[in-house]
Amino acid sequence: MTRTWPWRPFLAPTIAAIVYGASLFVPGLWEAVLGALFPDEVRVLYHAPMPLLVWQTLLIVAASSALSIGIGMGLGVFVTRPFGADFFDVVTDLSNLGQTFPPIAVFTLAVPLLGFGFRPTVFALTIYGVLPVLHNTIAGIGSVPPAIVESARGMGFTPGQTLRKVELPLASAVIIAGIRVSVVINVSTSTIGAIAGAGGLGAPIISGLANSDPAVTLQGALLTTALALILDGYLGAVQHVAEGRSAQLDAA
Amino acid sequence: MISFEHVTKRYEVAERPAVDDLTIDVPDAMVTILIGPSGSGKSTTMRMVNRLIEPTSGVVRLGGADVRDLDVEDLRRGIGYAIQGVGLFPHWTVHENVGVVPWLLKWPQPKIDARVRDLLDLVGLEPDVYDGKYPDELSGGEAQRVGVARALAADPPVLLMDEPFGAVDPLTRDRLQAEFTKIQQALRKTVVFVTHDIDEALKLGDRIAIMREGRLVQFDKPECVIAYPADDFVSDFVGSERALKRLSLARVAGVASETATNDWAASVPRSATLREALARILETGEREIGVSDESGNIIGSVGLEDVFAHFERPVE
Amino acid sequence: MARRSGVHKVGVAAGAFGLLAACALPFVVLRSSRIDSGVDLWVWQALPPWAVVVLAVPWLVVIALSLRDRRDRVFAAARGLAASAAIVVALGLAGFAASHLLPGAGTFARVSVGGSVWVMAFFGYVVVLSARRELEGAPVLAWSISLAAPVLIIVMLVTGWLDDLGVMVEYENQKERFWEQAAVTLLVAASAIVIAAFIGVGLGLLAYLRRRTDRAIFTAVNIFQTVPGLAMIGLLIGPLAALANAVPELRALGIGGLGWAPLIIALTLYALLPIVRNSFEGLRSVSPAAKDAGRGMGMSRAQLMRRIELPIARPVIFSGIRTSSVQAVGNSILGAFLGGIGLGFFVLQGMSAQSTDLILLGSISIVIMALVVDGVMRLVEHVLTPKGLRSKEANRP
Ligand SMILES: Nc1ncnc2c1ncn2[C@@H]1O[C@H](COP(=O)(O)OP(=O)(O)OP(=O)(O)O)[C@@H](O)[C@H]1O
Ligand SMILES: [Mg+2]
Repeated sequence: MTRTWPWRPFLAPTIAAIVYGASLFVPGLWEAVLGALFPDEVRVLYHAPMPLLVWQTLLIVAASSALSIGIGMGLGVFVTRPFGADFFDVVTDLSNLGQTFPPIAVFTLAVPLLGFGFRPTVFALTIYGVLPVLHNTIAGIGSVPPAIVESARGMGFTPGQTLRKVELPLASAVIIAGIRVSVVINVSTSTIGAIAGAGGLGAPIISGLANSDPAVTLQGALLTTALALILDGYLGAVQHVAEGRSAQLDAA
Repeated sequence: MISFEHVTKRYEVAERPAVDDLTIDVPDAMVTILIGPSGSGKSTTMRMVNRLIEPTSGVVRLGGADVRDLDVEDLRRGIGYAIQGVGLFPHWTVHENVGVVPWLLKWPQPKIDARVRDLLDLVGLEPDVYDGKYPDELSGGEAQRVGVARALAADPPVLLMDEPFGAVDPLTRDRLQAEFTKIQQALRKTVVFVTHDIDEALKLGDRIAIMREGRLVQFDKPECVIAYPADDFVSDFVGSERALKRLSLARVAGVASETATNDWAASVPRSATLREALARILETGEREIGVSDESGNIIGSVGLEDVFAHFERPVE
Repeated sequence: MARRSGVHKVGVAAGAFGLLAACALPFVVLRSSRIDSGVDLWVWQALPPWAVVVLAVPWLVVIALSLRDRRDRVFAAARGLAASAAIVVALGLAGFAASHLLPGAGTFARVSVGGSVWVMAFFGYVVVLSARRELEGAPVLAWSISLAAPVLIIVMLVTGWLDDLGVMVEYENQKERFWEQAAVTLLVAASAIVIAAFIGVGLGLLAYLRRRTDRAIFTAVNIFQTVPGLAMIGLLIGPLAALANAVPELRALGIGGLGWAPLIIALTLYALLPIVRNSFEGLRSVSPAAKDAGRGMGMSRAQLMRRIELPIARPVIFSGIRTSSVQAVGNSILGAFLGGIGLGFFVLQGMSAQSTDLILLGSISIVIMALVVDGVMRLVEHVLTPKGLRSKEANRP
């Protein structure tokens, strides 16, 4: 059975991403707009070029999200296997408890332990980012009807095949929802990372706030907000498609 | 007391009306059963009485008055209402649940308390045990009883019951039906009772209204529905064991004949149905068996001939 | 109960990782001044031999108790207690190490808690959590076990046992400021929650009563949630500053680009989603049968809402308010960027001075405050839950 990848849900975020990306290379436009909004300000743009700031943020988010997804899904799969079942309760409790903590607080708590700079920031973001992925992996796998798993095993699937061909596909929509939450939180918290010396889009906001340059703050805020919304839009589209798929699988 | 005059209900989206030109006079102090396949418009019909649904055209009357002329909340508070999901309020005790309509009617609290205890007694729930329980501490059957008690709380002359015994096992259901019959014999309410179980309809109904796709196909006494189904749909609906069902509507007392001898190989109480008598006859292999009164004395006999005779007699 | 074979995997693993953390990570960090990057000291460098033994003993007990997979009360409680002891001992010995290292290290020297103590605390808590689960039938015991470590830590704090640790030195230096900032944090978060509760429950009701509005409402509150915290503040500054310029009376009230106004607005906007969502879902969770029965018996729309729908939804709504409150306490760190409002002040100060102890002072007190708020509100939630709905309480996150 071949399915065409539905492109419609991705249209809006893609257009937004193209406009966003293009505008980064036209600082004159930003200067004009911000200058018009703040006619009294001398400095309306942050000194570092926008593509660099976005690149730094994307790098931090990509690295920490990749780690979050890997660890979160790995742990979620581990505790739902027979050999990891003993850890199910405690890991579930930890992920529930952990999500009670506010992400910014966890991040700032981790900085003193891990240190300042790019790598510590990535690790600090990962600590919290794991939680939504883990939580949803456990919930998603748990929501697969036992009868389906049973019949897969009955037909001779190995445990690994059952996981890859049955459990994960059926859980995918829920897991992706967790990844989406994790990535959005990572974008949000990474801006705070600017004060830990990690650079990125938080830098103009903080610099603007510190030096009373509202235009610079607004520049950073707009760039950050747009980036968060675009990433959220993309992952929302992926989630939408996955929801459709697992509904089809359910019906099958 | 309740009458429908050319009542039609058409939901916006549907292509055919849910209730189509329904005219029916619900007799007072009797149980009128609405029965039909799923989606035939039973609930819709019933809910037009207490105006949970308003008809598209036609008039529903209660005691002669158009229900649209009555204040909707007063109307509802004056009608007992019991439904399949029971719909007990989970955050209230059994006591508060049963007392809700009296409370809405602003009865004084002591009167409500006394009434609730009486009602719990009536539906066979020990008041001291059940009064303070919460719905999630009740079994399905207990919850149904509380639902019925709640519907009876303000002593309404009219009772609307939408599959009130729907969600319980067959045994509990039998018990609830028996108790309902007992209560109804004592209270003589005007009851509109929705079900899609023909056995329940035959057991409880004084009148049966059979509905199909929003239309009334037959409205008759249970015996007549079985003996003279209006069309193939009704006879299909009544089912293949029509003859046996007809036997279960007749009591031994009505056909038993007095006999000289008291010496029978077996006997049935006179309150038994003809169907039960026939079963006993078949079990014992006799052509005739004794009939006993409440204290066990033989007062007559019933035999295969009586069963045949019952079928030949016309039903009116 | 079926007899299990093999070891108690959680106990053994957590015990082993606890011991590993004790050896593989620095126990304390000694700095010559508060901003010095410092030298890592390992357990055996920071502690005399007897103390190293004391540190290891509770972990060995945890492991010994886990060699057989017994989950009865006695074993679960013993494991939980041993793990609590492990946490308390690790922290206590860090304080002890600080007291012994400081005198010879100069006037400005600081001793910070090292990674090994944190990781030990984490794995200790893992064992406590798993003991709690095994003690589900004995709530009093379960609570005592989970509160043992926090209570002992408070005792150590009060008796001054930890006073030589860097965090506590920072606290001592800015004691008054600390409590002032803590009060402000609480006040700001509480104001935001009160506002958000009114708006959020209102929007939830609207989405529930007028079904065509729900998409618009949820899209809006979801977008607020997606906007990063710092960016939200950045976006609010311009309009608020403009507003204050246009209406000088507002400026007199303290409303402006910086200060508490943008902070409260930001916290309120973040708080909306859980409250709106829970109000909506809570009201929707009322069974259709109960609503139909209520209407059919003659309740007016207002009576149905006030007597049936809202009371049934109330615990769910309140749990949304609790989630929001905890997040609001955490997000109050943003106040640091608006002129040093709240405990975030110490975080920002520490970040710019690269003083980890100062960051820790701010962030750990915010985390503790969040946990306390969560605990208190859980209690209130329990009280607010009608008795007939309590059996469902356990299913609520
Ligand atoms: N609120 C509504 N909006 C639209 N259509 C409805 C609504 N309620 C009922 N209907 C439709 O009206 C018809 C009659 O419904 P009704 O509930 O009266 O059936 P019923 O005989 O009680 O069925 P059941 O035995 O399943 O309870 C059905 O086709 C149903 O789909
Ligand atoms: Mg119905």
